[in-house]
Amino acid sequence: MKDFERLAQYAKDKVASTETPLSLYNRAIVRKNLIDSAITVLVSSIILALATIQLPSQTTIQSPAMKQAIQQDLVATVARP
Amino acid sequence: MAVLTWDSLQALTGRQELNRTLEHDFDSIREFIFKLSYSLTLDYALAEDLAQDCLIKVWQHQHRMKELKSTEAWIAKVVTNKARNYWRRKPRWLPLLSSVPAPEEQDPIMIELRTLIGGLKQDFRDVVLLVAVSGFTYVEAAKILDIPEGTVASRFNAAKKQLQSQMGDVR
Repeated sequence: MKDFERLAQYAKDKVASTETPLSLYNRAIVRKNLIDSAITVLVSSIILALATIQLPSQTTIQSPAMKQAIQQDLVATVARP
Repeated sequence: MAVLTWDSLQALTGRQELNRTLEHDFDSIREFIFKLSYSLTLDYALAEDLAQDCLIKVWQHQHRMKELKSTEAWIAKVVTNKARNYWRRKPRWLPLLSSVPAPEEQDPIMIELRTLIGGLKQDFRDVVLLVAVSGFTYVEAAKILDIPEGTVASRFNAAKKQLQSQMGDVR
């Protein structure tokens, strides 16, 4: 047990001899700022990406194959007596 | 850089009313909180974070100081409770923290002690840190932890035995 007591005494002495810093560097605040910046960049990128997507003015939901099938069907309907 | 001063705390918390006890004893309270934070984390950088967290909490609840018989015991309770979170969450934050410059603990003996105590379960760790490192008596530790004095003594002895066997395994 002597070893643990020696280590604990060392820590006690070290804490006692350590001066309290006048300025504390708060990593919690730095971390929060880093996370805030990352979120801002992400949201900005998403908005920019959405803004740059150019949708055609007349969008079609039909695939070429579907379109052809509909055209053939129309022709057949018109041609029917 | 966030600076731990009277003014910065006011700015940070947005509180304008002043508690005379806190204002008058600000330096000694700050020193008490920092040293206790260092004892309870065994890591200089974590102690800085913890001390600032605790000072903000103490500031926000300064009205309680008038009702308390022992301000020191209440502050010690605040620091001890918050220190538990620091032991739990340190690994999660390590990758993020690596990009933030801070004077990490470099002392190999402190690191060895931290590793040893980190192997204890929380109940034992609290008692060892308060009694063996921070220098509180069993009675004081019992008040801080809200447990009977006998429980503090039995946990301390059990923790010492565990540490002894851990150290025996290592050496």
